[in-house]
Amino acid sequence: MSEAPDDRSTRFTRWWVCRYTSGLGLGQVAMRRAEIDSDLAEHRRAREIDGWTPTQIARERRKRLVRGMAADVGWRHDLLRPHTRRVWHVAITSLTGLASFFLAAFHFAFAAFLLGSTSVADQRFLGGLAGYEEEVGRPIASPVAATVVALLGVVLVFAALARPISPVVANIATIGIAAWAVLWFWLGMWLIGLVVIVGSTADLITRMPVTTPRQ
Amino acid sequence: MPRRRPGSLLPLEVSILSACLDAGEAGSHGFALARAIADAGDTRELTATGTLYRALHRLDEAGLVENWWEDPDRAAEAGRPRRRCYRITGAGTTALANARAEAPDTDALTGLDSGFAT
Repeated sequence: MSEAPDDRSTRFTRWWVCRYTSGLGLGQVAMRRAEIDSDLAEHRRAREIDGWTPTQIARERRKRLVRGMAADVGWRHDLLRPHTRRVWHVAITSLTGLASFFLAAFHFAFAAFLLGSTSVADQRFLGGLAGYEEEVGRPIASPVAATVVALLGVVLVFAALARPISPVVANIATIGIAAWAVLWFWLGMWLIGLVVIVGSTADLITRMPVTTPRQ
Repeated sequence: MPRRRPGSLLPLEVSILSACLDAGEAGSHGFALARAIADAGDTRELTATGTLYRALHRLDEAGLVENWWEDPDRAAEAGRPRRRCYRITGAGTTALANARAEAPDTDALTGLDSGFAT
């Protein structure tokens, strides 16, 4: 016997609720899931009284769900915002971000001393990667590996916007980006500076109050 | 989407507060509020789930509504899950009155999916 349309839409709704509540506090998760379950039940009851078919009920339920998905993610962000701001502070933002920037710059300088290939890598980026191995005397894998590490670092930094991550991990991500900057000197410094500016601006904007304070 | 002025209410929030005010002391649950908003706007389209509950969460955080969970025995007798009910507070009544005074036609805006509201 095939599943009823409204049962499928119920399962889909519950699956989505599980996705956007994952990682939140147990109390918040339980309350949200219970509230949505209640909404589903009330919706079905009301539409059955109105004479709707299961297919019609399922269609409306899906429409309500899909139209509100962005708001669901926004609700999750509302709950996580205080935590992500702290991590964002540690990673790249405002005055604290400047300290992180100098930390990244220190690591960049240290790695530059060790590797000693910044200007050559810069030329390789501008002129293509041909002849890199011959000129530098090092396999092409090293700047490629550094690029992969830096990309992972960028992903970690942006993941901090969605859920809390350890400040240590956030700073390791910053170091990974700085290590990449060693081999792609000017491009890396420009990108790090851009991220600091964008992060600081975003942090200042998100400090603005948006709701009526309690009276 | 432009950031709204601090202390102002979105049209959906005005609609929710209006529906809560009409429900009185007994309060109302989320789906009933969605229906009331649709009926007030003379439309069949209900407010999106995520939009509605995010707005309710923000109104609750701001102290404009209060919420409580229904008595589980009552829900069990009715054979349905427990309802989470909402009731407008004094601050909410004041905020609603101010919003109506500033923009008399806001109650006409219903079913808005302000998923990107900030």
